[in-house]
Amino acid sequence: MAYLEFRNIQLKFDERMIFSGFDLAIERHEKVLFCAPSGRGKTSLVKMLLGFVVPDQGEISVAGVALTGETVNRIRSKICYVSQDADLPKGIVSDVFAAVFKFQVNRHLNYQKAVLSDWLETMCLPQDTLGKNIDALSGGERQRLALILGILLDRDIWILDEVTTGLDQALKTKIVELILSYDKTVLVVSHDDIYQNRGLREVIW
Amino acid sequence: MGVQEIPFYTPFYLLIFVLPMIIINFKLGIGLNKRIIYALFRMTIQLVLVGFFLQYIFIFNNLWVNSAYVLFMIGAAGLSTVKTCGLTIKNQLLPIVIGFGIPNLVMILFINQFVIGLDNIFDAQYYIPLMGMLLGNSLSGNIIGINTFYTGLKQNERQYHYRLALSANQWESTLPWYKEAIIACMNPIIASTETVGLVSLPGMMTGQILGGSMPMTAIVYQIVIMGAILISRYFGIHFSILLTRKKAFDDYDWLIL
Repeated sequence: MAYLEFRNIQLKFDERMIFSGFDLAIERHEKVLFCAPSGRGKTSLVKMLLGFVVPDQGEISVAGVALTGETVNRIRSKICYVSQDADLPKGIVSDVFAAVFKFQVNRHLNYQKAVLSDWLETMCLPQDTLGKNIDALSGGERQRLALILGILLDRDIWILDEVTTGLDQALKTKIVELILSYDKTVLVVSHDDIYQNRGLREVIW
Repeated sequence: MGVQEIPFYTPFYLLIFVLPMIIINFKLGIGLNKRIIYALFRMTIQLVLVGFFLQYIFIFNNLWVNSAYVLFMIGAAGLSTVKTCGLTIKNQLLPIVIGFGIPNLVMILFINQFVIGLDNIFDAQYYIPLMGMLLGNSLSGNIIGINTFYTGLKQNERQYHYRLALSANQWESTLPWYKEAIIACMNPIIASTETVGLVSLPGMMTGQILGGSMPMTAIVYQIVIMGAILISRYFGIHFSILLTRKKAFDDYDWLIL
């Protein structure tokens, strides 16, 4: 059994069939690029793994566990989900980060503020970002913070939905290279050419 | 020293002042006349009926009859919350009724037993009016709190989902809106507790003074009831949200209200 599996998925949105008899298997530590045209349900597909979209039919399994109402929390705790419009919790950046690492599933992670400031540098964010309010940051800054948060959570599966959209080319390249250097199962949703020819398996439907 | 009895016909004397109101409204085209007349009429009928009813209950003054009336009040308040907050009666009436029934019942019996020190803690004279005051306050608090919680979640669905992804736990993910709900529920009562007596004399105190109590007696009662209202409102909203949320989410933590 593959690490991530979609079997015979059917999903309708307002009477429009998005998926019908859809199958996909992804191996552990595989890096996959979803680059189907707009409106084909790329985001819905990755949201299905988190139980945010529930298919009308079909089965999903993550790390050998079938996704159901009972297992959804366990499965969510294996996934780090970062999306373009990441709705980071409200508040001061350093507080928000500290709060996330106080959640039960994240308590085992040894989070330190110093690590965060290193990451700010890597992501070309000024150090004073820590003391700023999330609402006062630009979309691009929030995006990168969400990515840092995702990396620090150190979960097995990364779902990155258009995380580099809107960033400048140099930063994009840096981030993409960084992401792909990790030994994680990475699912990228993007139209960006920057992911091409980097050894990602392209999935189109 | 008892209160001066009002004969049944003299309240109608107040209509002398309603008449010019109606004329002014009519002349200026202020569309309030219908509502004013309806409100006064309905208030009178409602209170007279309750008065008759209570008169009998006070005559019986029996534990079970009194408690049945209190349960009726709790049920009515629960129904009103469910309706105002757009919840479903089937799933949410019972949680709401238990949710604020219990803290209020515990509070009233505690006051009667330990604070006032009554021989019969189910004595209609204390049990029913004090419970009415507690419930009335819990009711408005519950409506504010429950609305804040569920509307907050609905309006910030994406943020809620992101929190779920970060924590994988429904309680942690909903906590910001839960806190907001408690604060929204408590804010008005904290404000009115702070200013009580400065702006207006509270209704219960006025009533007691009119009924012949010494102001100091009335004040002590008022202090007790203000404290009790604050406490039962606080626990009532916690219980109500905790109990309603059991059926407010599906297995995937989606809000299904």
